[in-house]
Parts: sequence; C-alpha cells; structure tokens
Amino acid sequence: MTSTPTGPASANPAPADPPAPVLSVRGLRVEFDVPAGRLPAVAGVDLDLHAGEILALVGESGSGKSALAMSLVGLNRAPGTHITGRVEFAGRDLTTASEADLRRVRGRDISVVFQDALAALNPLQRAGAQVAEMIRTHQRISRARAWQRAEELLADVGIANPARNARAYPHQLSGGMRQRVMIAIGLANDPTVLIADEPTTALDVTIQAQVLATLKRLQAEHGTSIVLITHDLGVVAEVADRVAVMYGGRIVEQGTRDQVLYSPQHPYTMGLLDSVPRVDGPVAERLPAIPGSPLTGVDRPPGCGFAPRCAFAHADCDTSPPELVNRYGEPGHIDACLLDASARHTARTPAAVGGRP
Amino acid sequence: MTSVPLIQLTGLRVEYPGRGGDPVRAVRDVDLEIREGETLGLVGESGCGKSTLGRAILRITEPTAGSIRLLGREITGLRGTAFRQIRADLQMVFQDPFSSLNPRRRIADSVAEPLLRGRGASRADASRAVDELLDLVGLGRDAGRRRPHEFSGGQRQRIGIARALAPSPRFIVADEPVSALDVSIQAQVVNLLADLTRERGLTMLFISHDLGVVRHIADRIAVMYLGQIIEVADRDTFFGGPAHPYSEALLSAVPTLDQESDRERIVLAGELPDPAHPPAGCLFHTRCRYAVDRCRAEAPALRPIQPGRTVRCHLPLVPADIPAPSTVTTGGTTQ
Repeated sequence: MTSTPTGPASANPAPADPPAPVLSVRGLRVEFDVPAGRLPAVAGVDLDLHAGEILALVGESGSGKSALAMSLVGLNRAPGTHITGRVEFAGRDLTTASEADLRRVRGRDISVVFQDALAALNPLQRAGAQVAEMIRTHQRISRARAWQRAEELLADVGIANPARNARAYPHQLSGGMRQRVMIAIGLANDPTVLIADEPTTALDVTIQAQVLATLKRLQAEHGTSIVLITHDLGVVAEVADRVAVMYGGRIVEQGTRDQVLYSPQHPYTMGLLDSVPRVDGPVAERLPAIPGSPLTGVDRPPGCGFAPRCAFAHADCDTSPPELVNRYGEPGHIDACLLDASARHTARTPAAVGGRP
Repeated sequence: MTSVPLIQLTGLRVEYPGRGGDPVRAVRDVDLEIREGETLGLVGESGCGKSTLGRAILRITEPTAGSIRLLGREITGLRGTAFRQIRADLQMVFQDPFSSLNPRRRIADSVAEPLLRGRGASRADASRAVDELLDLVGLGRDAGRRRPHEFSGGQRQRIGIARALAPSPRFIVADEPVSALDVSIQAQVVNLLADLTRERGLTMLFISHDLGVVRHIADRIAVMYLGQIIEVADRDTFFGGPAHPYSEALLSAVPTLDQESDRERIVLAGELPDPAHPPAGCLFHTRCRYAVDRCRAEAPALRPIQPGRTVRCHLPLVPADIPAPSTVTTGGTTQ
C-alpha cells in the first residue's frame, strides 16, 4: 500500500490518522444448512486488517474462525451456505464478486495456507512445480524463470537445499517442510494478504518454531498482512500484533496482543488464558477449566453466547448479544461483555472463571 | 526405590519392516521403571516412538525383544487365559475416543465390555459398576443409554476414561488423551485424570507432545528421541532445567505466554534422521549444538547423574553429582 516517508512512524500510527485497512469485514454472517436447521457459524462480525500486521483470529471448535477466514476469499460458496454482509478488498465486495474475479484475487492478492499440507499438495507433482504453477497462473513468465523463482521462494521460507528439495515429491518431505512449501505457494505472487489457517497445529514444537519465524520474517521483509487463525495462545503471544477472540460466531474481544493477553477484558478470554497449561511459572494444583462446552448447535442463547458458561453472568447478559465496543480497556481495546470494572477485576483472579471447585 | 516397580522394562525393542528392507527400530532397547502410584509423562516429537512404546507395554504392539515385568512378573511370554487375566490390569485411553468406541453400541455396553470380558463380572454387577463410573467421570448414568455420536469430543474422552477404568486396572497408558480437545475442555479432562489416578492409586503412563500438559499431570518425565529414552527426571527437576540438549531444545521451543520472557529460543537445525539409518554415536549429535568428536563416535549410555535424574549424554547440561563409571568430563552450560 502507500508507504509513508517516515519509516518508524508507520509502525505506530498517530491515532488521528489511522491508515485505511487492507481488508475490511462488515456485518458478516455465514450460516450453513444442517439437518437441525441453520447453523450460524459467523453471527455478525466487523473486522479490519491493517497493512503489514499479523492479526490472530483465536477461538475453539465452532467459534467460527475458519468459516470467517474462508469467506474472506469466497471459499465457502457451496449450496446450503448463506452469506450476508460485506468483505471489502481493493474497492470491491468479495462476497458478491464473480467466481472469475475471485480466482484472480486468490493466489495473487490474497492467498490461503491450510493446516493440512499433505492434503493440500498434489502428491504426484514435485514441490517446485507446484510453486511454479501458482506463479504462472497469475504472471506471464517462462517455465524456466518460474522454476528459478520457485527455488528462491523455497529458500525464502527456510527450506535447506532448495534446488534439491524443489525436485522432491510431497511424501519425500517432512511435515514442517511441506508446510513451508504451502507457505511458499501462498507467497508465490507476493500477495497483499496471507490467510494462514492453523498453519502450525499439525507440527511438532521445534518445527512450529521454525515456521512461525518464517511468517514473522515475511511480514517484516515483504510487508505481507497476515491473518493467522489459531487456537494456540502461545502462538498468538509469539507472533501476533493484534488479536480477535471469537466465541460462538462472534468476536468477543479485540485489541493489540498485549492488551488482549495481558489485560483481558472478557471472561472467556480470561478463562482461555488460565486454562493453558504452561511450562513455566507455578504449577497449579488443578488446571483452571471453563465449565461446559463451546456453542456448536443451531440454537443460540438470546444474549451473550458465553453467558451459560460464565460464572459472572447476570440477568442483563441474557437479553441481547452485547455490542463489541471499548468499555474498560485502553483505547482500541474492545470487548462484548456487560460486566462492570469491579466484576472484571474479580474475574481476572486466576481460577475465578472456572466455576468448578 | 526399595519396592518392586509396578512396570519394569528391560531392553524393550520394537522393530518394523522398513520400506527399503532395513528394519526400522521404533523403540530402541528401552530400560524404564514406572513406580506404583505415579504418573510418568512420556514426551517427544512425532515419530520418536513414544506411542509405540506405550502400545508395546500393553502388548497391543508385540515387542521384538526385551522384557516387561508387572510387579516383577514377566508378561512378554504370556498367552491365552494367563494374558487375558493380566490384560484387565493394563488399560489404555486413546487420543481419539470416537474411533475406539463402537458407534452402534450404547455407551453402557462399551464401558461394561472390559469388565465382563476381563473380569468375568455378572451382568448385574457390571451394570451397577457402569452407572458408578459414568457418574464418576461426570457424565451421569443416563449417558449409558445413548450412543457415541451424541457426545462432544470432551464427553467422548470421559467415556474412554470410564471404559479404561471399568476393570479396575493397576496401570493405564493414556496416549495423547487431550490432544484433540479444545483448551478449555482439555483442562477439564486433565483434572479428571489427575483426580482419578490419585483417588484410586492408579499408575499411569501419560504420553503427550505437549510439555505444558505433562507438567501439570506427571510426577516424573521421560523424554524420547529416535526410539531411545534420553532423559528421565522428577517433574520439578526437569522443568527447573533439563540435562539433555534435546530436552533443552524441546522446552525452549514451546511458545511462552510470558510477557517478559528471557528464555532463549533454540531452533534445532536439520531434520529428524531417518530411523532406518540412524547416525553413529549419539543419535542426537547431528542436531546438537554442543556435540564434540566423542558424541559422533561413541553412543552415550543412560546413566544417573543426580538423585532422581538419568540422562543419555556425554556432556549433560547440569553438573553430575553422581560420578560416571568411566572418566567423563562434565561440560555444557551450568547455571
């Protein structure tokens, strides 16, 4: 996007002049037809992705984080899916864009990296050829030049001996290398936006560390804006600039990484943070757990989706879904929780959220 | 230390036929003791052999060589009725409880099965025991009439636990029991397992790739790399500072939630060696940042270096209080 002449200032823009978002989601609803009725996977989301940032979408099963990410590039348009709202990118709405337009956008402007690299890669095609093919889909460039560029990209994502590994078939590569091939394919056309859906979930921690370092480096060197979908708060702490926490199809809290992780406002975020078993710090006698289970069915509570599991819920929580606005957090730190400051303070005491003694 | 361990493994080995004809040694001559009443956390990355080891102890996968003793009694050679009787004492909780439950059977029947078959209980006794177990794992006895698809992932894992507990076993192998669960649910199941093992004096081998989870449930930690146990230590000793360079790298790679963490991130170079063609000397030397010539030539033995800690390394990262049998210099970083 437009680069400001003062380099350091762009990392911390003045609040008076916020940069225009690269990607903007407004009032998005994604509903799936299921035997029991209509499943509201995404139940009304507003979200902005800014230039050059890593935005983490955090949530558990059924939170809607993947459904949201897939609708950013029109990947869930199958019959039985109902999408309303807008996804604005480069002056147009991707929810209504034609399939042909979307194909031009996908892989060139916005690309997606999936969790399961083995399923997403073609087993019969060499790794380098799959990267080269993605380049040639969107650029007029010779085969030889595309192959050369593919080797460069494989080197970029940290694959050792790229010339040799470009000639390998997916099954000859380790899980971490396959995931990096997927990232190389995602970066083939230097996209503005990279959507990474649980890119390290299937990987061992030592490999995960390598892949996360790769994402960080790409953000720094190419200015790529990244939407990182994850359930792992450790990963969020490691790489995210901003965080949106999803629950039951809605964003319940959003802010900078430090705001959300170290000064959480929503009892669900607090409970999630408490229940992560850590390798450092004191060992709790019991892991603080959130009682009950996440929302997965078609029937949703009329008010706050988390209220049935929240130890602090009161009558008002059951009337209508709370708005996602700035309440008690720093400027820019927004949440959808009706609790007042003192109740939030109480909730923040470790183990308070988990109702089970 | 004086009593007989509940489980004692000596030279336990599991080999698979490899693709190129060379056998793949998934478990390499493991010596390990699991004490009565403890939870031993077995950690390592994909392909290190931790699941194979867990299955071999229960003889779900038959070991190629070595010995498994249950309270001093050799069980590797047992067949038929003798083995079936022992089998009820040894139970397993799987990662994916759905695939281990018959989708067409009522929950109560699945849970009762090991009790009927392994212990020869009467239908009436089994039914009473199942009701109690379903209450115990927090599902309630009414759950017994339902079928697996009616339950969420966390609830199914509770069913898997109830089933494993049904024959009142002495020993449970839990293989990644919470890895497929959401973090808020994972905590519920970890707490449940911790409570049950404590209340019933159960001994458990808890297999996981997640060091955070293991830290919250295990009394001792064993680390595997390429089929070998490379470090065994008491929980707090281990997390206070691992002695093996691989344990150190593994621990340092776990993303931290600490705001001001001064932990050094050690990024392991290279890939896991092909288990059919392991390197000479120490199996970890190809990726070890402390490796010296000796590590490339001579395979280190698993040896005690401190009370409550054994390590398979020529240059452990903590000072050895217990002298090595041969002349070995202590190196690495000491803090």
